[in-house]
Amino acid sequence: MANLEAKTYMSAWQLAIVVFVTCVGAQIMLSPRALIEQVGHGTELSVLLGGVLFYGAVCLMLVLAKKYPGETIVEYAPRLFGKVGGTIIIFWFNLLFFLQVTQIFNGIGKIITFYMFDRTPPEVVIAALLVVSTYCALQDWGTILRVQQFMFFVAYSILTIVWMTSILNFQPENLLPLWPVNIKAVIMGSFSTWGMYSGYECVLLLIPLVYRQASLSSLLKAMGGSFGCLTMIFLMVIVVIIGVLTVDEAENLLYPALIVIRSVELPGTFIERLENYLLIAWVPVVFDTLTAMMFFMGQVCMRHWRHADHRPWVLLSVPIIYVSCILLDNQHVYDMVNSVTMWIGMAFSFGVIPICLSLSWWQKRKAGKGCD
Amino acid sequence: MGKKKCFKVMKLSVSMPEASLKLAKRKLAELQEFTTQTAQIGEDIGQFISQLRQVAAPANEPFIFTSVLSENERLLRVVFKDCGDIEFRTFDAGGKKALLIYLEGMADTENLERNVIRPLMSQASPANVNTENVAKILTDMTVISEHILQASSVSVLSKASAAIETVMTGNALLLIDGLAEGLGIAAVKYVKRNIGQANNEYIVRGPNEAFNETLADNIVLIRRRARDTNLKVRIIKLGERSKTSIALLYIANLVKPGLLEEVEGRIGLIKVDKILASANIEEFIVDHPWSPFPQIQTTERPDKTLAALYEGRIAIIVDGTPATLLAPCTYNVLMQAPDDYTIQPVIASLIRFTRSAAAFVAIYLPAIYVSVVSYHPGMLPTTMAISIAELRARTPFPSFLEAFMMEALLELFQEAITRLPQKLAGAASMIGAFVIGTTVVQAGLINPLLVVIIAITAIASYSMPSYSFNMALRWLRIPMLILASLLGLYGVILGVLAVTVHLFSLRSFGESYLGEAFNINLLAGWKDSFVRLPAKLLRTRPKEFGAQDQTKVGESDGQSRS
Amino acid sequence: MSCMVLVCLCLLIAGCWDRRELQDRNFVLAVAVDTADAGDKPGLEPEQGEKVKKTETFLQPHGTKRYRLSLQVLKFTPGGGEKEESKTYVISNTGESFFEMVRDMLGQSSKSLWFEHLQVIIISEAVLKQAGLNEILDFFKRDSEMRSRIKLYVTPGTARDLLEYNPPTKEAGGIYLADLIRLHTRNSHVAGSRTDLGYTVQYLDTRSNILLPRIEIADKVVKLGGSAVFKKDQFIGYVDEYAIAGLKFMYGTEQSAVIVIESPEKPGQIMTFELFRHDTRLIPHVEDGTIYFTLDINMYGNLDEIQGDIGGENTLDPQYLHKLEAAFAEEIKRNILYADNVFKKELRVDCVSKFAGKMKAYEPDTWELVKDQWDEIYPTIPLVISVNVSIQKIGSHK
Repeated sequence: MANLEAKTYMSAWQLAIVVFVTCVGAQIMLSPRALIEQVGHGTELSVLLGGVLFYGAVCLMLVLAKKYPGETIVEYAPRLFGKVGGTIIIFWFNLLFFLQVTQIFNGIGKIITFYMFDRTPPEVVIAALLVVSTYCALQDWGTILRVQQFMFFVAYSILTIVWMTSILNFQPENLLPLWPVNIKAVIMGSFSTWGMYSGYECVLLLIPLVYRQASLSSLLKAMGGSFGCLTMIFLMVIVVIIGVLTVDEAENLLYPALIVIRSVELPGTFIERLENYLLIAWVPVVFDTLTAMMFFMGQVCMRHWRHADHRPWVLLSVPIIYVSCILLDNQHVYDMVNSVTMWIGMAFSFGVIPICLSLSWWQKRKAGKGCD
Repeated sequence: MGKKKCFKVMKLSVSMPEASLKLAKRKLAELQEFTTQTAQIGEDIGQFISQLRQVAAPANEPFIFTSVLSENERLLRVVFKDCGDIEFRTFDAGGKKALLIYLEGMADTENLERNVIRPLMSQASPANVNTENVAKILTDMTVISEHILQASSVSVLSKASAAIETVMTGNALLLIDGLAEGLGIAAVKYVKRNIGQANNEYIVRGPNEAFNETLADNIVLIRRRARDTNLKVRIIKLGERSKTSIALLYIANLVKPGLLEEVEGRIGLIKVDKILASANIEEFIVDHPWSPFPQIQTTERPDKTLAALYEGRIAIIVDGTPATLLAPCTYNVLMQAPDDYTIQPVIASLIRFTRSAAAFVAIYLPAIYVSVVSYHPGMLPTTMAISIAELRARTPFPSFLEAFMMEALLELFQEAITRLPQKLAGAASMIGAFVIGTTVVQAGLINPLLVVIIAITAIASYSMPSYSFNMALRWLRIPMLILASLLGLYGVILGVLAVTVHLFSLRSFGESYLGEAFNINLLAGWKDSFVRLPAKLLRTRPKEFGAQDQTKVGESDGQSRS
Repeated sequence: MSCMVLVCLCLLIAGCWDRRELQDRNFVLAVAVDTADAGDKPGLEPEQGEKVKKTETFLQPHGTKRYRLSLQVLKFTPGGGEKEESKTYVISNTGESFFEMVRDMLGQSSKSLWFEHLQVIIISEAVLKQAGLNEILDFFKRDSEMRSRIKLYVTPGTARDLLEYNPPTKEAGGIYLADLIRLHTRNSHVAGSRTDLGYTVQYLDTRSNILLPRIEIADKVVKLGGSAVFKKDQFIGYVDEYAIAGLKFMYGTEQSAVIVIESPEKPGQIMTFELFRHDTRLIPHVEDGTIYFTLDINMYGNLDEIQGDIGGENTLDPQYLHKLEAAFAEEIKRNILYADNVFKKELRVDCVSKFAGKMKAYEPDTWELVKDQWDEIYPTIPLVISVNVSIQKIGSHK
């Protein structure tokens, strides 16, 4: 029926919440080990640097998107790059989401089956979460936006509270020395944090849904707030991991975040096995990332082929996602896919977007003033 | 012994032709054909009779009024054939024959005698000096109603269907020989229930009047509370055969733009035989008929209705039932009780918060129990785990089977209590307490912890202000139990996500069901959803209902400035 | 939509893999690790014991049996059973791989063994002499059921005897043993602040020297006191309670301690000081190529016991209290020097690598230079101690 009130538009702060919720996904559990192994003591600095770096990428994307108000990248990429180039860019964009979704499903399957269950096969866990994510991805954007706002206030606060109990075991000395650090490793590590911050590419798809009155500066401010919160969360995770376990132990554990929570003991209460609580609080966080990304994939396909409804594309992608995440069965393949995704993502953010910007500037200049 | 005599066996029909089998078969076939033919004829006759029972009418008009009274009377008698409670009163009015038709029991006969029959009959009285005017007056119904009749509400009817409907709603119909119109006189009086207490929505401090089954009384209850000319009442008749009146109430300068048209449009699409209860309408106008959650609020309290009207919503009152519908409806609205606004804000906030927690508990507590005990007992502290294990060592069933059994018992019990006659209620509650509480545990069938959990769940679900929401929670428990018994706490959390997404996807007349709960664009709406801030701070109406005027301080004369 | 229904149906048909009811699990509350020839069931004749041992175990085609693993399993007494019975019983097995032994023990158990409530692991000294801690603990650190806060004890005798012990409070044995160390904050003879499984694994990963509490049983008396010292993960010996007290003062991990001295005025009269709050700083300094550590301690507490005649002394006199404080400080210093001596000179072990950790945190440049020779340098590092005691209350009697 007709929507009596237009509820599909969002404000800049709602966009910030959406980006925040999409970015914080499964990577807080899955990636600290590789990051700490790569960087060692200066991991906090890597995270900070990564935050600044990817905030820059988002600013570039916002500038580009504001040049084409009312259109998503799917619509103006062919104009910038030509038909074939545009299709490649759109495919690249979609591939980013797809690869991340696959890795997240695989990771969550492994973690949940190891820590919460014993003999349940990971396929069941993945299939169950896939069903629920698909159910949500099939709804319209108004619903998904509200779900993400709800998750932001409820699920993230529970997650933060559970995580903060680990301060009971926090030993600040494990973080020292703060300096000197291996500068090269820190910089390479900040590239590796792409896995944690990724998801911000959705800005390119969502700008048309923001109120037109939102100026570029207010968008930048909102995004700045969002990235600030992101950096804070990741910093909290990494600092507590290194503070409770040391760098040496964190390198040896597959999922150090869970072991951090496992080491918390609250005697006298009825709360035991806090890692189950953390996992339970973590599943909604992963869920909203997954559902947002699946929705974006459906949207990209829908807009590219000029359909009216994203739902068939979401349903079509379900078996593809399921099969691909079953295929990532050993750690080596997983790591390889992880690094491939990282380089693809970085190339998109720091290669393609500036090229888009320069092409659009050149085209506008060619078209002369007075044409938009 | 000699040669045996050879008996030759011959058919009986050789000597008695009527006994022949072939003949019998043929006759039987004929008889069967005859029977089917007569059955067919009987059916045809039945159809003829039913057609004859119908009133002869062109198109959808039963007939047309003519100016000959005897014709009209004959045709009306055909329509009201076999309706023994319709009274036909013929009398003389100023020399002409007049006919008054009314439903005995629904018409106020005293009123009719005094205000209709007497003035008309006294027209022919020789005491009246206006005899030449009488002839002139008695030529037009409108003039008659203005000059002679003393009834308070009359309407001139020229369509026969309108006339019949008038009689059926309890009014009286006046027909005068020589006039091709009828006059409907409103003089309705029938037995009805007095204004009583609200059965299902009792509050501690505040009014306790409730709607009753009469539409007029219900509208009066609302009008009494607000002397606002902007409170409009629009009456629609619904139901092909029952022609029930329903009233749409709204505040003209506050209602959400477009809402009234949408509601009227949806009601107009309803094509049913009868409307007996407001639920019949509700099912047709909601957006998601398959969802277990109620998308229209029902109430039987006039103060709640008025508060809803002042938020910019629409009330639908149905004649014949006290349950009134309020559209649109969101989760916030279902979780509010009028009590919240009559006790201190801090306490009211705590109670509101407890209600939401109770809703969560009512759905998920048995599922959490099953998943913790069967899948993740490591989450219990060691001493508690040992004591629960010792309790459960006596009982034979696995936990989800126990939970299902207790659920089934609870549902049975709730259903039985609703259907019981008054006298048995006491005995049934005693049985229930014994059976569920003590004996089942002592028989070693269920462990006591599960009894406690089921009791807490039941109590939590009873604390919901809206009965239909309560039912939705009860229904949702079962899939959650199934999920918990399949995948433990992971299944429960997936269930939580699925239910949450479903709640967010529901739309009630364009409003999102749950979506305004944490919407940062509607920060003003947070003041009255999970907590209730003092009334000084609640200065705006809930933005979600889209009222035209957001501030609660109205214009001085109630008229909109624009 | 129909695909989703299909998937849901598959989930429903497939069944639940991990549903195991709470009462169908055998709670393992304690684990004891002995050498393969020790840890017999008590009260048996030798030949009977041999037969039992042979029945309990399985054939191992190659290698030798190294360990004897005993598990203390909980008995359910629904509705309260006999009050004299123990709440637990012990099963054991011999073998080489811990996981194999555990799985083989399912042959002795009617319900599946469940370790999520495991409270304590007791390792006997004999086992530690033949294997390192890393080899023994690897199964426990990898398995997903184990908690991080499982307590670890070392015992000089047979570990299994501790599992057989039935505490007089009639609680389950494992819980009793684990609770023994929870009071380490009040008992300065027990070093228990970082000695459970989680921290031990952390020390193994950072290659620190581990310290585990020592527990002993003799004829129905169980006592926790002293510690077992490891160099990396090899057991090298025990230290006594006095050294542990000094160690705790040195590292600042005590929360409450008791210091006993003889009165400076009247020798033979015992005085006791109870510590409530302290401020301990252990800081490395590097000057001209010399490394030394300074230890500054400020202690605040109460005077708890004066055995003797207090007539001549005025405990309300601040001067008198200062004298006592100085005496207490002297005793603490002596204690710390004793502990330092034990660890530096006799055992030559940087206990829990605390000193190394401080070097790494505060003087990273120097640490880079010396970290490879730390084990040789450590015994030569001087410790400069300054102790300050402040008596705040003297109790309810003068």
